Amino acid sequence: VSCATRMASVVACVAVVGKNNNPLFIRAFREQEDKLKFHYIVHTSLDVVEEKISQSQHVAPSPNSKVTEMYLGLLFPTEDHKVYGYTTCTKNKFILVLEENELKDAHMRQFFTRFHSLFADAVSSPFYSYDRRITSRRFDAEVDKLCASFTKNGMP
Amino acid sequence: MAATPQAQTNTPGGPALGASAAPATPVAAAATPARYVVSQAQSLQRLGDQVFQRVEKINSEVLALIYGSMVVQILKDVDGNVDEANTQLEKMGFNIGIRLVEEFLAKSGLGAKCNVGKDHFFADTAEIIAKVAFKMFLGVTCSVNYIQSAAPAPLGKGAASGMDASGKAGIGADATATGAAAIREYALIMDENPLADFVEVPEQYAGKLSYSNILCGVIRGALEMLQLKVECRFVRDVLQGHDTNEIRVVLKEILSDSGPAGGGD
Repeated sequence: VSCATRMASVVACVAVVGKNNNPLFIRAFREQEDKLKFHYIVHTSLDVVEEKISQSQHVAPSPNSKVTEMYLGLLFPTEDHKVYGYTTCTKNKFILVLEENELKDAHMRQFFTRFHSLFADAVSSPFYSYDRRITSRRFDAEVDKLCASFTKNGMP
Repeated sequence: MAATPQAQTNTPGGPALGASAAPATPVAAAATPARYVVSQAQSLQRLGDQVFQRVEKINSEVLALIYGSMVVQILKDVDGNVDEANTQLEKMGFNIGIRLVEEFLAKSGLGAKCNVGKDHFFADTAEIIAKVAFKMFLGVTCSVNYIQSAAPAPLGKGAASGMDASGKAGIGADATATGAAAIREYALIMDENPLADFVEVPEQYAGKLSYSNILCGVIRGALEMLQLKVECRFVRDVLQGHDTNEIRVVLKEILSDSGPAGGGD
């Protein structure tokens, strides 16, 4: 990606989609790419998300399935990016678009867990109307920080 | 504020409190207002911690969420009229305060120590509220800034509010015996506000909504039951972008025994 000595973030885009597949939050980190392209990627990934969710419902729940049900894993690869998904029990979905190839599962889970916690804080504001676009500036800032710290080697 | 034997047995944390309640007589206390206030603050802080340990507690997130949904509902009810919402919150607080003060005085054991009607009582209430009441009900403490005004007492400080940036008693070195009695205004600096957890005020209310205004009402209601008619408002609010929260309490009138307008407005 870049030859800079500082570790670059591998996050191209992160999005939150509501339970009716309505976008609640989309944040793209690559200035040179068209933002619309990320909207498109997120939108098409929703089909895969639904597929994965219905798949996991057919499988008999194992002792570990409670944890894996939220983290959906790699949804699909494009030529430049890999798309990962995570769903909450409230049917809100987080979509993460990355540029890097060799990333450990554990890093992804860690990212999503922290992102989920930021999402919970943003949604807890009494002025946030549920299932509407997230306009919290604090959430924007925290997400920027979180994504910036997500590099090839995972997160600190 | 002399510690009487009865007062000591009423407060289980007695020995610690009694031992440090330094001033022997009210006259001696008034003569050295600065030292008196500081030692009073320390012993009150201890009392606050003790009472806090004894009272039942609830989850602060639950409190924040309940309060938040109440504020939003009030805003809806007044059709977005922010000034009206602020007034409603203050009124609710007032009704809470007039009842809460009884519970406070009983549980904290300070009922016996309240010199209602004494000149310096208003100044005393500052540390009591900041260190004991806030701790007991919200789990946080405040620091106090006494605002020196051009008071009737011969203090020689011509200009109004001299705020002491270091946060503690702003009473000057040349304070006379009536120093504490001349205090007509103080500020409560609250760094943490548990009511405002997770809250972000949207643009249309930013700068106008006094989100935690219920606290101002509570203080006003409580003090009115102690014969002090005050005005109470937020002058700095973290939710409006300031660096900390500051509630200004201004004494308007010391009520005579005819009593306040009971029951709220």
